[in-house]
Amino acid sequence: MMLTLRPDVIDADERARVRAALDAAGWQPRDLADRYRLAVSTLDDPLIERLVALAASVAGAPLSRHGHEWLRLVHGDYQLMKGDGLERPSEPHVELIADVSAAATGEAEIFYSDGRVVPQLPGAVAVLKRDATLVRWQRHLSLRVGDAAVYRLRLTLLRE
Amino acid sequence: MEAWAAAWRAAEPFAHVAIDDVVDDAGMAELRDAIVRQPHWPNRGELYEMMASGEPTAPALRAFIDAIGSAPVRAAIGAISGDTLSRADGASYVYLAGSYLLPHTDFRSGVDRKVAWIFYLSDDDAFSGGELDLYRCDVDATGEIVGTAIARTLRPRKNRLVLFDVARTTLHRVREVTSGARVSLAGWLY
Repeated sequence: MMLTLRPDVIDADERARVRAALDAAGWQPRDLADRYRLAVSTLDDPLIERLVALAASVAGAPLSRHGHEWLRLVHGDYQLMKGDGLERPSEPHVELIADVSAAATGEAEIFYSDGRVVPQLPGAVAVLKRDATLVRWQRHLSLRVGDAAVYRLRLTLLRE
Repeated sequence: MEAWAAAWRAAEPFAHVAIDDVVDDAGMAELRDAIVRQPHWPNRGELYEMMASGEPTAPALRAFIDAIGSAPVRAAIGAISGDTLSRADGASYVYLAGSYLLPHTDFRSGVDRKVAWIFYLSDDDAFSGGELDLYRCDVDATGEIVGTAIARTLRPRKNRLVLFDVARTTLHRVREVTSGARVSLAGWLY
């Protein structure tokens, strides 16, 4: 499994519901200049279980949840490889990225150190295998994004 | 020179100095003309988005960078920083609206960068944003950066040369340019 990107997995109504739930629950800022500037939430949401099943079907094997994190990025936010490298699980795992943003910004892509790229595409879900060496960065959101916000889920899954 | 050396040593959050009015009007005009003739290419990566020259080919730009690396200038900058400097390199950069350089240190293991230099060419009212932020870093017992805060902001003033120390915790960034074009030459002394 190199990288599987499935568009239109999460419709606009469900994305709006999840964003509202996340905003209501509140965000925690994560700001360490040489690693990242963004906001995170660990809110549990029914969407996550549906995505676990989707990831298992892509992987062709049962998967269990190891952890998850919602991310919100706005103008000026970013995540560097150093920030990712220090916090990802060390064991091989499956990573699922779900985009619940309202709109595409044309920025905030996720770049993996092996060349794979996950675009910022509302409603899309990406599934890929990661090992201890693979790190990633999320591109800075410039002034071109205006008031837009990127909402995405990072779901970490292990083989059962 | 001693005053700049004292300023370097006393500077917070880490050693740096800003030296204004480095070149005369004719020299500045020559450099600005050279920038227009120098090709710049889109340059985007994990840390940055801007236009960069690569190895400059315009003679005036080459001459400036060569001057930074000349023996008398190296000796002068070394007298400020307390280093023995052997050479310099550099390139030209154009930051348009939306360009940025995220927080980072220029330190690279095995690369003997000692002093970073930046020389600003744009008129002060030709752009907004683009300031140089210097960070104070909190470091744990292992040397890992565990806290960061902007402690000093330097305006990219025309005809200003900024020198700063290159070390594991000399974290800095160029704020996003919000309008106009911020033009600079920059590189390192080794």
